[in-house]
Amino acid sequence: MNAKSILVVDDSRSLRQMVCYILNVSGYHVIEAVDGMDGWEKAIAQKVDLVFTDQNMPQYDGLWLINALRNSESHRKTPILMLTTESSDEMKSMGRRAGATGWIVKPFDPDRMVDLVKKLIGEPS
Amino acid sequence: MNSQLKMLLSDISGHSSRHLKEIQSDLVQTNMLLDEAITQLTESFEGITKGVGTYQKAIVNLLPSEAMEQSPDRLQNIVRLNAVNEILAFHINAAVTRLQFEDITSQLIRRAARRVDGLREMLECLGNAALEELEDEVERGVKVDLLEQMLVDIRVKSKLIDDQLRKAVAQRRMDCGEMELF
Repeated sequence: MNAKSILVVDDSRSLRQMVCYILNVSGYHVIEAVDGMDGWEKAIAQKVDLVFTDQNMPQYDGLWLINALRNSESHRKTPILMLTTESSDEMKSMGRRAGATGWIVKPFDPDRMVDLVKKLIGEPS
Repeated sequence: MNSQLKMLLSDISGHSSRHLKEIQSDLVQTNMLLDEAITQLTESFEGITKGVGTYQKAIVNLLPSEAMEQSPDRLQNIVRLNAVNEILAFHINAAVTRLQFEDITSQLIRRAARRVDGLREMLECLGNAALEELEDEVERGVKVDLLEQMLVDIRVKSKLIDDQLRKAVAQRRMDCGEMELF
């Protein structure tokens, strides 16, 4: 049985490395993308069960990606978690209106992150 | 007086631009070094955790099986191993959280570098084009108008920098951030 796939969209290589490490160790298959457009292209090209996205990225940001995914048939209901340094109520409201499922403020706690992933999509396989 | 004013503005512009260029270069270099260092640290961290995991499995395999030995020593070793496991898990978790500092600080460094760039543009505008015009305009007696226009331009550029550089990082410590589902 194939492991569930998680798309991690962040322009920071070190942050992607950390998130990928945590999710890989927990048994999930991870796909990396460097910005909103790259994330969008990868999300529509393969099976993705959950998306983590940063907000502030060059050119195509996290809100742009959420809007694009929510307007696509295949990702209308895919859980999308914003993983960002942003913590203002204003930004969270914008994320919620765009269709984000939840909000995680960096730096994240790995155990709590994996618990949240399991809550949303279940065990890796 | 006009030539002195021109020299003053030109000097302020020239010296400030040169220093700001150096600051910008240092910030970019710092960010690159941080990125390289954190990438290597993360690779080492992953290598260490994989190694520790393999080492732990090997130790468990070396312990005599329950069927062979039910001695207090065996039980004590298992308790010790479990305690070490808990300590390792705690430190691995903490390291993953702390290694995220680069992502957060690099955003602040990039923002500072962009602000320095904007400031440099403002000063260059003061020192170059505006000064050339100033010389001509002074002769026509409209120096004050021109200086006021330069002031307006600088304020507009300053506001533009502020508008483009919203502060996205409020963190002052590396404590874990909140998580919430909508």
